[in-house]
This record gives sequence, structure tokens and C-alpha cells, in this order.
Amino acid sequence: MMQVIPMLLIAIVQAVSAFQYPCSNYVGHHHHDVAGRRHTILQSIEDPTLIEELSISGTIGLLANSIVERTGMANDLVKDEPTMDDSSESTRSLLLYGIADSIDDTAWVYFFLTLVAAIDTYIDIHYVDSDILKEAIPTIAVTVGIARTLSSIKRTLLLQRISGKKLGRTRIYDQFIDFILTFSTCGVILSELQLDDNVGMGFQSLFAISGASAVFFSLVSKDLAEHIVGGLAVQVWDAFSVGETITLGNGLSGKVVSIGLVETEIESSNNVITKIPNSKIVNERVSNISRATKSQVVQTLRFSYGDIKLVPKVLADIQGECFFLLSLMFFINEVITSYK
Amino acid sequence: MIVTIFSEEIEASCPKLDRGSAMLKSYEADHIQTEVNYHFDIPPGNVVEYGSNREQVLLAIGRAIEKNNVTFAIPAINYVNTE
Repeated sequence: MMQVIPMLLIAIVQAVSAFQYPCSNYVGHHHHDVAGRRHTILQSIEDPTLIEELSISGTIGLLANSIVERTGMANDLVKDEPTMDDSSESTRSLLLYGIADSIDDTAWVYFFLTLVAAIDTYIDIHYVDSDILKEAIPTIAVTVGIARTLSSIKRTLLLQRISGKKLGRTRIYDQFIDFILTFSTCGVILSELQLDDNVGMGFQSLFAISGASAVFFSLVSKDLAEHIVGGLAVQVWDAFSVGETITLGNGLSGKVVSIGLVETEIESSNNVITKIPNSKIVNERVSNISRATKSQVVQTLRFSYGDIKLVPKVLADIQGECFFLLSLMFFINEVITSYK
Repeated sequence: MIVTIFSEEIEASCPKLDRGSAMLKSYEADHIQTEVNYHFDIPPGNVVEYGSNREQVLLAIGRAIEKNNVTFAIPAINYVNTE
């Protein structure tokens, strides 16, 4: 492996440099003649630090990758990262998988950034300053590693917390923490790279466009935004989840079929599916029948005044009958629903 | 005394019965209104168990009515949809 990587590197660099050479005047900050270029290539290839860094990070990456694959094989997680739905996985193997995966990612980030720095040394990529990049590589790789490790620890803790129960609002916590981690990682990477003026302008115009488009879209799709915010609110609210039977304040009752970003679908007992915008449903009273543990039977009985003397006896008998029969508990589908 | 005996019977024979009552509720213009109200440790989400339990309560009411040889009053006013 130690010999293969430098050879590969030389091959890649030579191929890229041959391809880049005709247009090097347009893309380069500095102009080298062919001899100078070859000289730099040889110098850089002989640069022991770069080769060492590439070899070590590549090896760590491959080792971690094999651990990831083995752990994955053991847990039938060969291709996909464990998700919040895989609550059946054991906490220990999930944590091992997560940490190995983050080491794997860190090593490969390190490897590829070093590779970019090495290539930049020969070819001089327009937007890359190899001096800054070389300094920034360890910080970027470690930041990515820390973020990935934190993410996997967080996921393991959340899975432990729910331990086979329904996900509920845990999913939105998971996504929110992931978002914060990604956002901070991107922030660290951007500040480490010290982007030059041209790129800065590009970013500025991007932000300007996105700001203008945000205003435009917020005007055009105010309702849609409300529904989406409502959808997030429904998930955080955790008043109901898919499969549960609910009754809304407006009298609609049924089983929740799906909770989308914009709308929630409820299937009534007559099999009609009603779609309700999430912005509406968060403002409704919701009674979750599936989460109730007790039920009630109420029946009004009317008797003539002629039977007034018998009524107390009838009521006492009803109590006696109920207590005797309720212990039998027949499970049948065809039932009487009420006396009118 | 009778209430105590009933309570003991409930606990012994029906562990899912939480609490309940069958009592006279009001005197209406042309009939007497009573209400039977029972609470059970059965989740309403379990439709089959809830439905069959409800049926057993109603059948029990029917047997008590038959045993005492009384009939339900037919009110002059339709109370069913106004409650």
C-alpha cells in the first residue's frame, strides 16, 4: 500500500497536468514553463510529508472502512447507515459502527484534501491555495470527524432513550441536531479555507440572490410556508403519529394515514381519506383515542311513569347483570351499538 | 350493603371494569330518564374489544329489562338527536 499510493499519485498528476497544460495560462495564478512544471512535480512527489500524510490517512481510511463493513455485516447494515427506524440494533454495535464510520470519513477527508493540495502544488488550481489548504487540512478533517462522532453518539443515545417505543418527536430532535452539526462544520470549513476575494464575491452574490429569492418566495408562497411550518410543528407537538386514531375539534375522526410536510391524511371509518393542511391541524383540538387507556359505555334508558316502582330494581339488576357478564368478555364483530 | 356486595363482585369477576353506575337521572314530561354509565380498562383504540364489551353491557341491560317485565317508554318528543 505504501508504494502504491505514490505511484497512483504520480500517474494522476501526470494525467491531469498533461490535460491542463494547454489552458494553464487561463487558470493559473503563476505561470511555469514545462521544465519548471516537471521540476515542481518531481519536487512535490519527493516531498516526504505529503506522501506520508497520504499513505497514513489512506491506510487509516481503509482500516476503518473494513471495520465499518465488518460491523455492518454483523448487523445486516451492509449498505445503509443505521437510521432512527433501526431501533432493534444493539447500542454497542451501533456506537462501534458510528465511531468507525466517522474515523473512516475523517481519514478520507484528510486523504482527498491532501491529494488536492498535492495536485495544486503541480498544477495550480485557480481557487485553491495549497499553503492555506495544507494548514487547514487537519482542522477540517478533525472537525468532520468530531461532527460525525457526535452525530453517531447522539443517535445511539436517542435510540437508547426510545428503546423500541414509537419515535414521536425524537426524529425531529435527531434531524435538528444533525442540522446544527452540519451547519457548524460548514462554518468551520469555510473559515479555515480563507476563501479569496473572487470566491468571496461569488458567495456574496449567491447570498444576495438567495436573500432576494427568499423574499420573493415568502410573498408568493405564504400559505405553503405556513403549512410547512405547521408540519414541523405537528412533528414537534407529537399529539399523534401514523396509525393512531384521532378525533379533531371539528368532529372529524379517523386513523392517521400519513403526516406529510404540508398536509396530514386521515382515513375515516367510511374509508374516506381527508387531507388537512398542517397549519390548520396545529390550531385544532386533537383527541388521541389510540393513546387512551380507558373506555366508557353510556346508555340512556327511558321508562314510563307506570313502571316507576320497578325502576330501582331494574337498575340494580343491570348492575348485577353487567358485573356477571363482563367477566365473560366475548370477542365478536357483530355488535349492538345502542338502544334508541 | 348492596353496593358493597356489588363492588366486591366487580373486583372478583370483572378486572377490566373500572367504575360505573346505573341510576335515575331525571323526570321528563312523559317518562323517567335513567343513565347507565360504566368505565372500563379497555383502550378505545381496540375496536373489537371495545365493541364486544359495549354489546355485553347492552345485552345485560336487555336481560334486566326482561327479567323485571318492564318496557322502554316511547317519548312524545324525539330526545335522541337533541342530546
